[in-house]
Amino acid sequence: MVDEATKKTLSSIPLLKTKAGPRDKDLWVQRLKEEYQALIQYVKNNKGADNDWFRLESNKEGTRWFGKCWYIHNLLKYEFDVEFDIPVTYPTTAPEIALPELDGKTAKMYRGGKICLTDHFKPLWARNVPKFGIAHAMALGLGPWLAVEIPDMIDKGVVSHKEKTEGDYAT
Amino acid sequence: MTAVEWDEVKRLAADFQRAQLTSTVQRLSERNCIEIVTKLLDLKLLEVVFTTDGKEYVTPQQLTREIRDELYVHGGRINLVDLVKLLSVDLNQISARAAEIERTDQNCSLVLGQLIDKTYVSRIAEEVNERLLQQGQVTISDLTRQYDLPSDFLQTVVEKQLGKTIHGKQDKTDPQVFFTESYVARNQACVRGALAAALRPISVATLLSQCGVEERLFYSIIGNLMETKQVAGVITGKQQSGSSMYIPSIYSRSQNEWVNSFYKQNGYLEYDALVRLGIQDHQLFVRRHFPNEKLLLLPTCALGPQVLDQVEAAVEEAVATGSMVNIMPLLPSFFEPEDAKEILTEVLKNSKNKYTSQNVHVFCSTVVLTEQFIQKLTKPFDAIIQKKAEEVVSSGAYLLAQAESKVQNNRGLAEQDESSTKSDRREERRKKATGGKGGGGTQGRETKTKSTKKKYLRGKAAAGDDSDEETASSGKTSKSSVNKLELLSFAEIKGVLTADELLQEEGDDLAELIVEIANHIHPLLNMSGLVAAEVIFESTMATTAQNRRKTHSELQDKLNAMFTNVRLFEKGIKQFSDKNVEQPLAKYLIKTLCTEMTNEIFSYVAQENMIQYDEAKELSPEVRMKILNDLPNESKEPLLKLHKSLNTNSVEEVLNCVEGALGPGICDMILRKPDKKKERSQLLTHRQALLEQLTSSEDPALVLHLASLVLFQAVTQTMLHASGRFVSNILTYLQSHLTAEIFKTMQQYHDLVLKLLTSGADDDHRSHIVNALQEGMLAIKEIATSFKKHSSTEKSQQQSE
Repeated sequence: MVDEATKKTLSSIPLLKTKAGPRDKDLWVQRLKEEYQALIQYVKNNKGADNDWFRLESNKEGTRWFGKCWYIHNLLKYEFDVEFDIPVTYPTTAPEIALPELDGKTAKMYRGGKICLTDHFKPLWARNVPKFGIAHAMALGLGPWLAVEIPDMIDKGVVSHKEKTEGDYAT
Repeated sequence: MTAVEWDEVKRLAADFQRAQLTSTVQRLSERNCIEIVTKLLDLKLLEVVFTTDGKEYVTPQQLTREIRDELYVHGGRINLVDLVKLLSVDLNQISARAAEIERTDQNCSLVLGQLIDKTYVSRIAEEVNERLLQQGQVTISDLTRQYDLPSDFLQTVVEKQLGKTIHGKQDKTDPQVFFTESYVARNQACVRGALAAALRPISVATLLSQCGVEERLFYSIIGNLMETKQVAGVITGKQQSGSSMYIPSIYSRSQNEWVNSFYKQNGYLEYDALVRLGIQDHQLFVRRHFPNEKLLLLPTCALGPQVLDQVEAAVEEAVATGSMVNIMPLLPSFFEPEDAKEILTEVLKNSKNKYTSQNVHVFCSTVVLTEQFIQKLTKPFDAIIQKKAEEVVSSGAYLLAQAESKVQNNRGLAEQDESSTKSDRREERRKKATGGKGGGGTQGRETKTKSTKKKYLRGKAAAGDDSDEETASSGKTSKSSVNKLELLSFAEIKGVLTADELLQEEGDDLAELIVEIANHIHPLLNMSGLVAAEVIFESTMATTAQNRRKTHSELQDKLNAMFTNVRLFEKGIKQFSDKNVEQPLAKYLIKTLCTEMTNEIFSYVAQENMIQYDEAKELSPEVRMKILNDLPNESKEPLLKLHKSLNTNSVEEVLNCVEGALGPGICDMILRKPDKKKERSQLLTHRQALLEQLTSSEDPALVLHLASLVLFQAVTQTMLHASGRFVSNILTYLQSHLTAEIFKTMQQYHDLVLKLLTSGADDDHRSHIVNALQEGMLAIKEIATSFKKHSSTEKSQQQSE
């Protein structure tokens, strides 16, 4: 199952109500609103706990999302680009989050940099349709994946720290 | 509608971006914080104080402030331990801070783990003042109890505030006590009243309980009162102990007056009386009270020189007059004999120069006897001793004792040589002992049954004069006490002393004194007795030696005479040819004269050999045998022969034996040869004796007997020793030698005598015979006396023929 910290994080993200995909015109707007609210809350939560770890923005329709995520290991910040599309069957199908930079660097990844989610993720998501949204996918999918995979990759030397990114972040 | 909604979405997206772009709160985790703080502490960049739960930090400044706040909240006094709980900071930190506060702030002080404020101190001072006003007196110890603060702190607080906030006075004797003037005045008045009222010694404890005054205060008050001379009296005993007494001077004055007057009047002080007056340590008191008087401290009283002088005078007088004095009557009645004894020793010690202790004896602790007086007392004993000594000597007990003491002396001398003799008396005794005549005198005095008791008494009386000697010889005492010769028993001496006039004059109750005197003079008397006995013994020895020489010759003469007589009598017996007459006559002779002679010899021998026998009685054969058994062997043989010869009938043999017995070695006597002349005179004297007897005799039978004996001698010119039984035999013998007429007369008379002896109680007949005998007696006597002439003439005629 999901670890305690994650569970706690999840529970603090507001649940969504509207079951609608990008194709449902008005309902999707409704859904999108709810998504944003959940994300704002989540980010706020993270910031409040000094645990901010990603930046996200979407296109106008809210079907494509992109941004950055980072992980701090041994007092060094490792930053990666993150992107994903809202599938048509959303919210029944969970979005497939991808880190294109790391494509081919780890076994826990599909072609195109899509991360392999844990066995738990899918049934959990399925059970909670339509209550889970993007915020949940981030908290439940990408967060734990980073925590497990990044240190491993750093150890293997696959990922190295880039001063530049740090500097970028600072600016 | 949709547009509006899309706007809304746009807005939300913008919100989202904004939310994401807002800087994250720079929040540190707790863990990090702790790490950062420790780091800072390590680097000494930060100074904080940890709370006890470890979750909080406080800076020292904050802590100081908090402590001050708490102090204020708690009214100026707070315990550091309470602070620990209130601020949840470690006690070490707090006490460090508190010390800091005390150092920097003059208003605060740290006392006994408590932080105290100036306001609090002033409040205490006010409270103390109130209390002082209420109770009149306050002690630091009370305050300590009340405020739970150390006494020296309170002391300084109170002293500092004294006269400012606290209106009172500090006790001079006890700085811990404070009181108000009014309180002191009140108590002083109370005590002054009580002391003024006291007439007798009163214990301070009683005073305190009656006045209700504190003991501490009491003493300071008393000191004050005495200083200002408001009360007259003294406090005795240790202060603060409660056992001290207040003695009013009026009491001690009257006490002293009494003691002085009593002493002046009587010259002594009785301890009992002092105790009654309440003086416990009487000896000390007496010494202090009369430092100039020479007081003799006795077990029950103190004695002044007056009484001592009296006693001394009495003793001196007694010594001067040579009498005795009992000091008891001179002393006050309650005096015990022990006191008297001490007085006497004191007196005798003082006057040792005037008369030595030998002159004076102390008996019964109280009676002084001079030597002269004792001499007087012993005078009556001289006669008794003389008598006793004679008795002892004559009874032979002295001899016995002497013999035994000789054995003793040999042993005793050896011992005595070792122990150096000290006194002259002892020297004398020794001389006597070496002389061998002392007769138990060697240890005459020591050899007494009562020696142990006497030793003790003498030791007391003679004041150690020769007590060492006594002890030295006490070992011998037990040995030699067996054979001592006691001339005068203790009881006898006592009896004589009791009857003594000199003592009778002195008083009534003398039994004890007599016993002691008797004890004292007993050995002396025995000594002198023994000396007397010795003298007597020696003199008797001398006289007996003389006597013996005399008796020896006398006996020799006597025995010679007897011997001659017997021989003459034997001759007479030989005249009788008839055996029947001769034998009994010889036997009679042996029985009478020979036995007598033998007895003389035996008694002489017995005396010579110191054999005891009864001199008053005639020696019986048994006694003779006894003597024989005790005789030495050389003299035994002849005497035994003599003894046996008495049983034979032969006079000749007896005489031979006598001669043997008288021989040298036994009696050392010489028998004279038979002498004709002597025999003749012997015959004459014998006849004369017979005739004298005859003339004086009135008894017819005796007259006849004597007459016949005289006739026989006249006829035969030999002596005859015969009893009356032989008269008829003699007559028949004489018949041929006498004229018929004479013979007839004699015969007739003889018949008459026989008749008289055989006649019974027939009065007429008897008186008739007696008359006839009386008539014939003269004729018979005539015949006997006249026949001599006749016969002598006849004889001369015959001789002439």
